Amino acid sequence: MINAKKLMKMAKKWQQRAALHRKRISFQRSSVFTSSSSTVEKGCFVVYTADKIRFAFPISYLSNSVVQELLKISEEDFGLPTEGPITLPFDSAFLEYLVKLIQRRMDEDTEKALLLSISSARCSFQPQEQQCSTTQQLLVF
Amino acid sequence: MVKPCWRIGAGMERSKINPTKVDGLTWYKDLGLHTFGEFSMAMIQANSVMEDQCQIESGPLTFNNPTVQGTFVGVYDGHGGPEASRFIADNIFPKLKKFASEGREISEQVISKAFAETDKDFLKTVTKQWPTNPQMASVGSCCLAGVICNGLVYIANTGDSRAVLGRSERGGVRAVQLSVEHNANLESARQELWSLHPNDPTILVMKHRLWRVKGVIQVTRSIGDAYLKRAEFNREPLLPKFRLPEHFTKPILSADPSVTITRLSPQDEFIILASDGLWEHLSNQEAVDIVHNSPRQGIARRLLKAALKEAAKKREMRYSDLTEIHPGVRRHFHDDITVIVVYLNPHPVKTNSWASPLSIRGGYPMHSTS
Repeated sequence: MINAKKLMKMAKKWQQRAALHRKRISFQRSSVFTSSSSTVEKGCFVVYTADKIRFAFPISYLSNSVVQELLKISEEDFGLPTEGPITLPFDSAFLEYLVKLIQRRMDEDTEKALLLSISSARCSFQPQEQQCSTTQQLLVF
Repeated sequence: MVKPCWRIGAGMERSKINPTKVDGLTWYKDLGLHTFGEFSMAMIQANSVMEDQCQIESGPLTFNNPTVQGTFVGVYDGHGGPEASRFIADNIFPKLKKFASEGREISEQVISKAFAETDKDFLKTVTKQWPTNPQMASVGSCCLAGVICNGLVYIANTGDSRAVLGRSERGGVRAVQLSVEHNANLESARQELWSLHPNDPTILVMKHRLWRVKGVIQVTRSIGDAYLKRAEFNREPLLPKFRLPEHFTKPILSADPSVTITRLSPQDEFIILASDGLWEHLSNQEAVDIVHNSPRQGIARRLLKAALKEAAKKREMRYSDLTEIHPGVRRHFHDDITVIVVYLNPHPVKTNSWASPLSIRGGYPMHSTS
């Protein structure tokens, strides 16, 4: 369970990190740090978020059902990109939040509930206010 | 009918005579001999079930005239499932032989009839399976067929696969595209649809920055896709995403192939036939340059690798990491790819091919995650 205090702390951390432009999630260190723009990270695949932040995740993450759902949503919303990288229709703060949950190896029920809320919430991701309410709704886990 | 499982056994039997190899998601035949020279084939799977199929047949092209010898090459890029492309691979060549036997020769009409009857028979299967398997109505396939016979190459195409000829020219090689493609993102294909459906303002809809027929499919001609050919399938229980909001009377997609006939000259070195999975990463000229400048052995796999390297670059990742991705989710990184390179000798290799006809089928069975 995440309490309100912890939540505030996490949100603050994300805000700071959202200010940085290129990011990489490192799973050896379990933390988020930036990567230089020209590197192609070994063992990783890349996605961009709607706010144009770059994330590199280990290939093994492609077998995670939450990640697969995100890619499916990207395909439905944008089609499969023919020329460039994959873009997800979410902003970076939301993706970081999901990654935290994935890293914590949520139990089966939490994962099911999360999958459900991602797919039902995605239509409302464009308008700013609705996005906030969705995020809050997701933070209940 | 879609062939049942025993077909897999039949395929293995055949591959004993003409050994082909599987390496992970790649299927290949590095070098073989057809009536007019050598050939090389390779395929890679990205979808959870391989939707591409291909074949090469070399030897007699009729049942009753042994002097009509040649090579038949087919590349079938399925969508919505593997059933239509498999059906084509099972049926189109015997049909071509049947129609060729009637006139005792190969002609544009013979090839077109084989396409038409393959489509008609597949739609019959869809009708038969409708009560138990209605999703068959949304399965379709592109169909690219090449026939080399009597110094001519016939290229028949329905959909957006492509055949490119490599013609030697002043120390290099020039790409000559032999196929006419049917994809809504080509001006010619859009004009054709708009003129065929002048009273339908939504015949072509832009979606995700790409033109799609009725907002659902990029190809403007295909085998199968019964839901866009006959209104009787445009209803439940077909999935809502395939159902059109309005009734239609005229078929929206046709199975008619565009056929080109080219007289081969001594400068014509080879033909590359491939599904759009290859051409979205390699230009015609890039592909013919690779073939011209590389050894024949394994040339199809080399083209495949060049396309995958380009796909990895676009996704900002390493090629070696791309190769680790499992089918299914892999479709987000590249499409199923089929490539066949057919080298052209000026004179038929009579002693080899006439004695032993060749038949190789690729893409079935392959890895399945479902």
